[in-house]
Amino acid sequence: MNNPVPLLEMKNICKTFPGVKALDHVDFDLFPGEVHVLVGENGAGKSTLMKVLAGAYPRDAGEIFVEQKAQPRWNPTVARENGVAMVYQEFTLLPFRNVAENIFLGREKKHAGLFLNKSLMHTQASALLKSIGVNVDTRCPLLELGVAEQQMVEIAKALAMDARILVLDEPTSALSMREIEQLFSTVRKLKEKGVGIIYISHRLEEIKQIGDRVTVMRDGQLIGTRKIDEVSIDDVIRMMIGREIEKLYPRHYCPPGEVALSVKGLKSGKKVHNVNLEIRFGEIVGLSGLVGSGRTETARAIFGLDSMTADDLEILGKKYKHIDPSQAVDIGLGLIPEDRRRDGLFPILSMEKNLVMVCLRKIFPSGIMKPAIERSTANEYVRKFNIQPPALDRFVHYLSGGNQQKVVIGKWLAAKPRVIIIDEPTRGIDVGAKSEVHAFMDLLANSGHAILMISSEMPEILGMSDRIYVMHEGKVAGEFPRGTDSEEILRRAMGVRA
Amino acid sequence: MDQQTSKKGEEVVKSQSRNESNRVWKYISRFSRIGALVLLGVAISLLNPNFLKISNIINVLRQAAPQIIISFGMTIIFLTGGIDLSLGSVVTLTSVIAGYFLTQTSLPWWCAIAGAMAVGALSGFITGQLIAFVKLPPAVASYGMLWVGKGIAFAIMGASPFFSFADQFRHLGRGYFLGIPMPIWIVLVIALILGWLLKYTTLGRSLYGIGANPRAAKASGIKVSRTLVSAYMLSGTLAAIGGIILAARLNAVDQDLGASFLLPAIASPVMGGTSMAGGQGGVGGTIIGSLIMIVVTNGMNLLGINSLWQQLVTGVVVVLSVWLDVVMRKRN
Amino acid sequence: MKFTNRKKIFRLILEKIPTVFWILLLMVIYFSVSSSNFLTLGNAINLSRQGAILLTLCLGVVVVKITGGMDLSNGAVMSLCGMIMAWALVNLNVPVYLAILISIIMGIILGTLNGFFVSILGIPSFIATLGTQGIAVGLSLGMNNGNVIAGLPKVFYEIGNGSILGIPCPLWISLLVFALTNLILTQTPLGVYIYALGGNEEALKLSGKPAWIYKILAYSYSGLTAGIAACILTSRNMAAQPTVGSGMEFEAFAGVVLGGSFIAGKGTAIGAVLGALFILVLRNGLNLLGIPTYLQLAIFGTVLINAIVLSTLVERWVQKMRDEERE
Repeated sequence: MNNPVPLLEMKNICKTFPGVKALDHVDFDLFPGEVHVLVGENGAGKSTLMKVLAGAYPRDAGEIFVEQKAQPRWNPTVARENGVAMVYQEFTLLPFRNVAENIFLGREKKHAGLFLNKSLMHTQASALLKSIGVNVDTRCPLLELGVAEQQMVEIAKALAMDARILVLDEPTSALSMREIEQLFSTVRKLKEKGVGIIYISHRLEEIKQIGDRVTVMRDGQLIGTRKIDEVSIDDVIRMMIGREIEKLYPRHYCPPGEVALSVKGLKSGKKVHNVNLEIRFGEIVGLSGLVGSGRTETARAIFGLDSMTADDLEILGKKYKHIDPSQAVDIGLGLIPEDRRRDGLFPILSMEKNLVMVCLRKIFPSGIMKPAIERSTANEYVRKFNIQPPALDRFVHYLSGGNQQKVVIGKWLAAKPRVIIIDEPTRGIDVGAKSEVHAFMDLLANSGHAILMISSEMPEILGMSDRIYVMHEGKVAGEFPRGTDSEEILRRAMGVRA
Repeated sequence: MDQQTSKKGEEVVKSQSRNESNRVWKYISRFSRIGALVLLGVAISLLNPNFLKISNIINVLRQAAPQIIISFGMTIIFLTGGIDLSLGSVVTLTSVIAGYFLTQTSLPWWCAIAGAMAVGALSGFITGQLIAFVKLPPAVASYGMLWVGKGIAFAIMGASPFFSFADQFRHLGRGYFLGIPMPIWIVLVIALILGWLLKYTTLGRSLYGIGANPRAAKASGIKVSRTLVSAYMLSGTLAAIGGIILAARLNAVDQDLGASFLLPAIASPVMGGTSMAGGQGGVGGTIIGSLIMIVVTNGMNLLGINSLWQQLVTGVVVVLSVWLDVVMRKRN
Repeated sequence: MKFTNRKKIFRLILEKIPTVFWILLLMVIYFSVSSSNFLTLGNAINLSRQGAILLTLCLGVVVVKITGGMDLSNGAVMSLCGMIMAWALVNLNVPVYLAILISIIMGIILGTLNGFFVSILGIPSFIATLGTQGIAVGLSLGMNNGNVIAGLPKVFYEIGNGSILGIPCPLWISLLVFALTNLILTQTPLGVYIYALGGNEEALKLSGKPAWIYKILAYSYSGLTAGIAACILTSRNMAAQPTVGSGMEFEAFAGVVLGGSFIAGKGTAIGAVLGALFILVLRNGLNLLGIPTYLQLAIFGTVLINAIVLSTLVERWVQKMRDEERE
């Protein structure tokens, strides 16, 4: 901050999506050689702001200055020319090609304008990598490298394009402790080179290590920008949560019954290491944790979508080694997925066909369908969930987000499961539909269903759950009763010991 | 609250109008197919009045039967979002198998039919396994099976083609029932069965689900691998039926019998409104699509165009119809 | 520790050297032992004259395969190029070099047509190339009523049957094509982009390069090699036959896949040569062992399917090992 001229200023940025004010007069600035940390819960508007910066979204209002020059035209090309670069993981890399080719993709060094000058590319690539403190063989194919090294290559690629404003989006979510240290030393080298870095992270303990300033966003608004030495982690958490837990949540607590599902020592893939949990009938259990902590993967493993092992898996009083999804439907287990467009809906099929897709074998055990029964089943759930418009032969593709979510929930409930895992039940849907979904969940639990609710929204976890598990790095890091303080949960989710 | 309901209302109106336009499009595209067929027919009959003679039409339909049935098989595969390039060679293989049973063994004629259908199903079973369990891309797996089938057909036939089959068998291709040729009856029966299967059974519905969104199908508890294997077995069996009718009509089989069926089998479902991306379409459209293909070929014959050029026309038609499918999909 | 090292070495061997190399080695040993005619100079020269055609085709197909596509049209394109070349030689009395040029240009045109279908119209490559196959077959059958064109000038004979420095001309030609393909793939930016199309097309687009042009070029190149192969083939037969190339597209596809290009973004010119050699040696060996032609196709098809399945499983195992090593 020896240089008083800001590299980037974004002033009064506004962006509205249908029904949501994603950015509400947000100011943001960045100095050369600075790490500016951007934090906020999911949906706070961080990624929207970054997409405006990259030129992927046009802004509705506001101004962008680069080195105090106003930029009336701002699109991906202009952004790139001004040195804005985003680093995603493994997004722009060629797995089978070597490091140097990846760094210079599209900007190859040539002999006689025709042939690759490989030696020059390798020298320059390794010089570039050395300058950010990375020691990788530039002849090594990308897929031989670890995730962290691939990220370094991605950063080097950005530098080769003369990036001055570098956005690192959750760079540490897939890294081990040692790799994080490597990344940080690279970031420090970048600072020395005068690059401005916008660092988005959920891991608050990192902020103190690497950040110079921190900006907190919530609900599309800027809550505040502080110097890092002047705030504590607790302050940041308080700024992130801010609001009181709204009284919107309709949960009527009633005492739980028998154990409906219990799993011990669950392991699956790279993200679930050792999960123990149980759910009782009549209970809504919240599963909280950061993005990437293994919550969704836990749900998929229990449901049999991913391969898994467990010391003990008991569902509705029976023990299983593992189950597959069709068996899960048969025994009365349901999984309402996180990404409804990818895993839940059949967009080019009608609402009626969507609604009966899960319960096909249940209502037509002979394999022969009766249109009248199909129609009445679908109608029942359209009425129950108040799906608008109630036209059964409409493609679900054309429904609003909230109604699509109701179709996904309805399609599962039509199969009459007794244990329901519901992943992010209200992501991306409007307030009205949200409270309707919450009311159904309350009703379901109180009519004797067992519900495991995965959610990234703290108010939802606190407002709906009877009991809360917190996951951290593939393990259940803590279990809390109803009414626990939100900061306590967030701290545990971030790996801070109690 | 008021604001919210009005917003909702707006949304409803918007989605309704979008849906209306969608429906209008659907009618237009459905009508356009029948319209294209009629137009083609009228154009050809103006150039050559023989086209509209009952005898020519019945003859055309009889010749079209194998192609329609094979296209039904491809339709089922398209519904799942896959492709089966081996269908043409399955036609060759199964007709050779039938010919072998009829001429080289003393088994009764219906054994030939059973044998051919079993081989067709087995071929589909292997293709399905390669796709569902080894997870090869459908084009690669079925392209390999194309040559396995062709090779086995060669191997069985050796140097000499099979010909001169039992009368009962030939009846399937040449006979009449109530004044209408047997192949047409067979097409009608199969069309009804498949139409029912796709519309009124859980298996049919699962096929649409897998084609519309394979990930969601798996997550909805549909047995995706098993259903896929059944689909490929069904299409293999249908190709076998096509091969049987063909052998029965020609009263001979040779090694190039089926190859020319592949391109029309791809084009017919697509022209009939079945999307190659899966999840949309059905056998009704495929009949119309096949008829368009047949009328084009028959028309060329009537107009005295050398049949050697027909592959060219088929190639162009395939590319154009698939392109149209790609464009229509992008519109959505 | 030692154990994991050994595993790593095993994985690297599997990864770096196409499995087909080992099978080829075994086959050469087997055929040499079981047939005294196999390892003779006469057989080698005969093999190279025959094999140059397939070799040339494979070198085009591998480029398409690296971008993630399939080219099922090159057999038919080769036939058509041969027909047009022969027609020009016989009916227009064009000089030989011009006829060769016509053949090559025709190949490029049809290849570019494939590229247009795939890259601009967005049609899946196997359907687009099947369509082009139909077009090419129709044209070559239609242009001379399905008849062979014979009576080519004597000078033309040398291309397929002559020798330079004791090495058959077809082998020279395919070696040149190999050198060109290898140069493009390993030493030019174009090669990098071809690999990028298969490995991560999005990355290429993000780097601001016109990915669609490179995709068309890949198909054009495959057409070019089909045009070159047509020259060898027509000269060897001293006649152009309209369906002579039918089935060659399968052998070329099989050769390229066996040569290690079974997923997008993978494949090399050397691998394509190995794959082509595998097919040639298999066919030659089966001939020498007296296995009838009508059985050979069944063997080819079965071998190919099994080889693809095996390669897929090996690739998955390699991937798993790599992940384990990283942890």
